[in-house]
Amino acid sequence: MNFAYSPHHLRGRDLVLQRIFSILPGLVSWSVLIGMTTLALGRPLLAAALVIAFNLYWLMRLLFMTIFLVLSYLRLSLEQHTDWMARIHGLKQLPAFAAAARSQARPETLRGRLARWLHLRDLGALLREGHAFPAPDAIVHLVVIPVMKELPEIVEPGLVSLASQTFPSSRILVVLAVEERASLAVKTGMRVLQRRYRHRFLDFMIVVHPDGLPGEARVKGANVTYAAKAAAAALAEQGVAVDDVVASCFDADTVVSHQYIACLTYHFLICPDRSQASFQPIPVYHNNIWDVPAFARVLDIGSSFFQLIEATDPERLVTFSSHSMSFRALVEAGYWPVDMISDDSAIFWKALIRFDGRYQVVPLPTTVSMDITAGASWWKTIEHVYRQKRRWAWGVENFPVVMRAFVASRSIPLTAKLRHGLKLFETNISWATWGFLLTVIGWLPAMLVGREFSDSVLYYSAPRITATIFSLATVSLATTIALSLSLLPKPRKRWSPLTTLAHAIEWLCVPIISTCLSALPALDAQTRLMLGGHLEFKVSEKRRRPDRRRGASANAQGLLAELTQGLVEDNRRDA
Amino acid sequence: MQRLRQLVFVLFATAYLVACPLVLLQAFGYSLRPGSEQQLVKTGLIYLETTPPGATVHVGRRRFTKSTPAILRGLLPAHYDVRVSLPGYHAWTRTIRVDAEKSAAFEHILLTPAAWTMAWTLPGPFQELVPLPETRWLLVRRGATLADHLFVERKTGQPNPLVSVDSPFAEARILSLWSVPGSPAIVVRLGVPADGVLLWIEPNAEGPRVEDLTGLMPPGAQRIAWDPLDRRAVYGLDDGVLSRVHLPSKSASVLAGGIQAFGLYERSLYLLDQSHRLLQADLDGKNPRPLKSFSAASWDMLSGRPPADLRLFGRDSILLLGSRGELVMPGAALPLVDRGVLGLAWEPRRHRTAVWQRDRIGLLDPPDPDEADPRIRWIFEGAERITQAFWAHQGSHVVLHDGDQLSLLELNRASPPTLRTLFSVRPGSPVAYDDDTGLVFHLEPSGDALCATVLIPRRDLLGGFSLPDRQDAAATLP
Repeated sequence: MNFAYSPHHLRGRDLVLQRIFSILPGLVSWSVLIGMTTLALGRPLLAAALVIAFNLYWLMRLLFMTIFLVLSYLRLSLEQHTDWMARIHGLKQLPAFAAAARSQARPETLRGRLARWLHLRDLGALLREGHAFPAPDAIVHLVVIPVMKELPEIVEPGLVSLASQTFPSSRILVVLAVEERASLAVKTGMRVLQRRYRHRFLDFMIVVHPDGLPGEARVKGANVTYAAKAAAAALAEQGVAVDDVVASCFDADTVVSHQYIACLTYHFLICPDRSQASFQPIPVYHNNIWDVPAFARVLDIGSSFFQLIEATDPERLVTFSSHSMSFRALVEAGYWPVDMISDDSAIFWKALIRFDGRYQVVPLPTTVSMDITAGASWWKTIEHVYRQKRRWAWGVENFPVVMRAFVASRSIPLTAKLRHGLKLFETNISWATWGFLLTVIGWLPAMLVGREFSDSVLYYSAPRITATIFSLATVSLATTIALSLSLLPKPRKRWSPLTTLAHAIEWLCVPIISTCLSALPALDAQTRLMLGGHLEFKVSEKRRRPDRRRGASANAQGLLAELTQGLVEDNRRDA
Repeated sequence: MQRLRQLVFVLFATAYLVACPLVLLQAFGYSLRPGSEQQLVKTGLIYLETTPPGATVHVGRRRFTKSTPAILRGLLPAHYDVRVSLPGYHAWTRTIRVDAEKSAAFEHILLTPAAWTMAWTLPGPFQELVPLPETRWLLVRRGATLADHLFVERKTGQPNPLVSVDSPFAEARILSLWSVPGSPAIVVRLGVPADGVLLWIEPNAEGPRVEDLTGLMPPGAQRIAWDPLDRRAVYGLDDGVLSRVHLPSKSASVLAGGIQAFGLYERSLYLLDQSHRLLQADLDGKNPRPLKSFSAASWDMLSGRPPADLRLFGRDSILLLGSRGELVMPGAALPLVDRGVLGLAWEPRRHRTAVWQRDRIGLLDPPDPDEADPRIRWIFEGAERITQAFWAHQGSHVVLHDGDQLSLLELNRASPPTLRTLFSVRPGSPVAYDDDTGLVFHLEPSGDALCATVLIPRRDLLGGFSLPDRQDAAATLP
């Protein structure tokens, strides 16, 4: 379906629909919150009954999510040591590779056995389906990295991680999409990086995005679209077929695991509808995780866990943050939106509409690591985190556009419309309301207790039922704490038992943090959209202590030194 | 994974659809009737919370497994004989009616001990106790002179004389005594041999602070008061003229004339003028602002009589008590009580006032927007002679000083008020009660000692230290 994926420059029916669907999320969220508060004051018995029903629903959702969080974590953990390059090469002679895999000795560990079982299962499926794979050696990766005010020390670890891939970096085209309005320091820094790393990749382009092009807003999508078009021209010049290109759009602070491109290539190759697919890794925020306040850490670990859970539901999975996709799909969908802030999810919706609902997101069992936004002080960090979460929640701007397309389209199946439409709507409403319902409004019937309520059986039953529900919810909390402690990168110093306990206790602040720094920004975003307001795109501030870099970038220093040494030798040789 | 997810989703959705109605039915008190019928019935519950906790509960002849605080759930609508017992305390028994979907809550059951415990005693003999409400002090009288009076610290029972033995006023008789709730100070008018002397006396750890107000306050002042939050000034009303004595400078000034009554509350002066207007002014009498007026019907009832007493419990809780016990409220069309009111006690938690006459006690609840005029709800009648009443145990009980007995009136929404006799006290002498410490201060019937009897045991680590500016103690007629 050809559809102008934009909330701007609309007329007539489109404009009316756009306004109605812009108002709907905010209206429903506010109705839920005000309605429950009013009920708590006027009809406390009904309010208390609704609170119990909601709490029970929340518990079910929590336990459901916990099950799939554990399963997703296990999958991620099992594939940690997978040799994706070997699997890519195996695709050239699939029957022989499958036979060899089957004849291999069974690993001794449970993890090894499970990984082997998964691999054999996948190979069996590939053999049964009998799809033809493109030649692995022809695959080229385009990596677009938008830069606005990030200095080299933020961008460089990501480049180092790309240069140290198990996949040959000579087939990776890196494009730094630099805004024209970026400072001279940033531009100079990027030039230095280009000079330092260009010979490591197929090519290393810097594309400067002119400011104020017609039809564009000051958003990341406009910058990366401009860069991707320039890259497309460069690839065409080199005779690379569009179908052989996999595009990745990474935030400037993204550091990928050394297997990322190989893992992506493998999943791209085995995906039957690879030209109508995006590939979503698990975003983790490990780059500066030990350098930020606890509330910011807990919140972003929560975001990672949410993506882990979402990864188990590919039918409803939507791209988020740093991700990859078929370059053909990107070109045919018309690149990223140039006038919307939430480009990372908008590109999925754009492609879904373009391909009449036949577009999928393939979860990747690998991680990409990013920075947690941080300010110069504790309060500044709160401000930055709030702004970042509001920007994420501004993804609700997709709802009216998507719904308009769903209303207009006859070619998108009804099931796909319902599945995606309801998910998009429900996610936004629960994001803005659950925190308030659980931490504040749910307690109002008991707090504003009147005679009618205090004389009822419900007044005495409700606390017991709520206490039972929250006790059962601690199962989920305990699981989350355990997973967070095992998923996080190892700190530089060994933790004392007290520090471990303190990090576990951080999770007890979740109700307050999730209300103030998740539900509130989401409600803010929905209210702005409802009232016809807009949001200005502001790049999240990233701070790292140079001497305390962690996580996936932990070996970056060593690699950097090695690369620098290599550069010196190259220069000497050239001289 | 997708298929597993769908399967688990169906399982969870089914579990929710089944569990949610069941949980809600249970929450509303629905229960499956045991036996062969197996039908769904509506039930109610009884909630019992005692002080002290841990009491055993019997319903009829069956003993409930949990001790108090306890919720007896799933009770079919009926009357239940409930008995709550704890070794060393009198058993508490009630026949409680349980209605469907309703709770019968007894949140403040006070178990009275079989034998009373004294926190301390002060050997007498004493003639009378003067409560200094909402302070940490009491005043006891052994005789008529100033030297016969003692300040007693409520926490320790430590006595302090009002004046030193070598004071020229030590042997003077006290003719009149004024005190203000929340302030430990008293003002006394002395007789022979210090005729007409007016003293301000305030207890202090280093010795009493005494200020001579003679010549500053009009000698005929019938009502003397001060603001407990600002003890630098004393106000006196004499023949419609309100005067103010500034203690630090020992200077006096006339604030206003034509005043019927006055009161002080939180650094504001409240004046009732001859036009039955109620005014609020600064402590120096300036910036008078009109408040609600008294109705003509109320005023007619009071007119031609001596000045009335203005009772201020809050900025919006003002009552006027006439000299014959008429009780009126500003803004109300009719008087609340025509005559015979002996005292008022304010309960800040629920903004209600206990009002008592000689033989009955009632409650004046906060104004209801649906009702035209506030009314007193008489909750207990048939007393012998009520002289004092105190709110106790978070407003759930009223301690009544009835004749020579102290009694405890239990108030509960789920049952009619019930009265329990506690113990005898000295006839004619007031008592004092401190709800923070749970102590009753009274003279022994013989007058041989001043006792601090534990009415409500407190477990707090502060040992029941009472703050001087509490609001929930009783007020009595001057």
